[in-house]
Amino acid sequence: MIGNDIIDRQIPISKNWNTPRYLNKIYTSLEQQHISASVDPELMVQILWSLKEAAYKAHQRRFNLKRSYNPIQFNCQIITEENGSIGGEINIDDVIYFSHSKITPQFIHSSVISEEKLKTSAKIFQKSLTLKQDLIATLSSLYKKPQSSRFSIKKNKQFIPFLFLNGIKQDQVFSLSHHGNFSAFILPLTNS
Amino acid sequence: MTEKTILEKIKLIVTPYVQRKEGLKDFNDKTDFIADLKINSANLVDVILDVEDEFNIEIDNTSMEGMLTAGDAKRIIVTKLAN
Repeated sequence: MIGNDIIDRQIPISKNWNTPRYLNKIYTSLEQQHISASVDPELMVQILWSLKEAAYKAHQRRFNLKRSYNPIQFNCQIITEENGSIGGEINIDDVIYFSHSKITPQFIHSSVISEEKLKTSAKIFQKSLTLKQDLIATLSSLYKKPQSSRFSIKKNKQFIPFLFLNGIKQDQVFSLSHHGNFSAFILPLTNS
Repeated sequence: MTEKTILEKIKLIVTPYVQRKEGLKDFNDKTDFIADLKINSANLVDVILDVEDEFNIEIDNTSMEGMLTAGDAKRIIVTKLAN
């Protein structure tokens, strides 16, 4: 399974971000230690948030879970950290996800996968109001169906988006994310 | 405090974080913080902190998990105020 999350760094983070009350509601004590030891704690707060969001999407779709606001249950660990590229692991209920994040001055984009071998393809857009159409355009070429085929994306009652082709629900896995001026999606690459 | 007053206070608390203002027009128990009001999920914690301050209660992580609509928030506040 896969999940992704994008954060527009132009949007100010919560005014409460460096208060214990805020941190204690979202981050475990280990995560808080990592935040305070970081050279840029504010950025680390956002990176860890993006891991929790991306893992939530993967975990919810994988197990078809009810919606829940439980960020603290997603335990994140940063494993590798170098020049704008961060590798991590997220644990939730004894399930592990592997993450990769790309950090630029403009955005943070995190992808998570449930198996280390899984390859994904990510697309990031700036000022795009047509994320679903962009995703459908990519999928229609993957499916080798003309764009005129009736692809659509609908959310189920748990708010998990699914792809439909001519009204028939597809097994296609994907993950969408928007924040501010940025949007992104990822797809698994099945032939790798 | 009546449930109606609580709901009105919740509306005031969430307003600064709402990105879809028309969602506030018919604010009721079913109003979904993310789907209807497009509140950023990272700001839901700010909403919860403001609710704690306004009602002088503490919202534990288990209660926070289920705070997805105005009605959920109202029920949690009513329960905490009764304790």
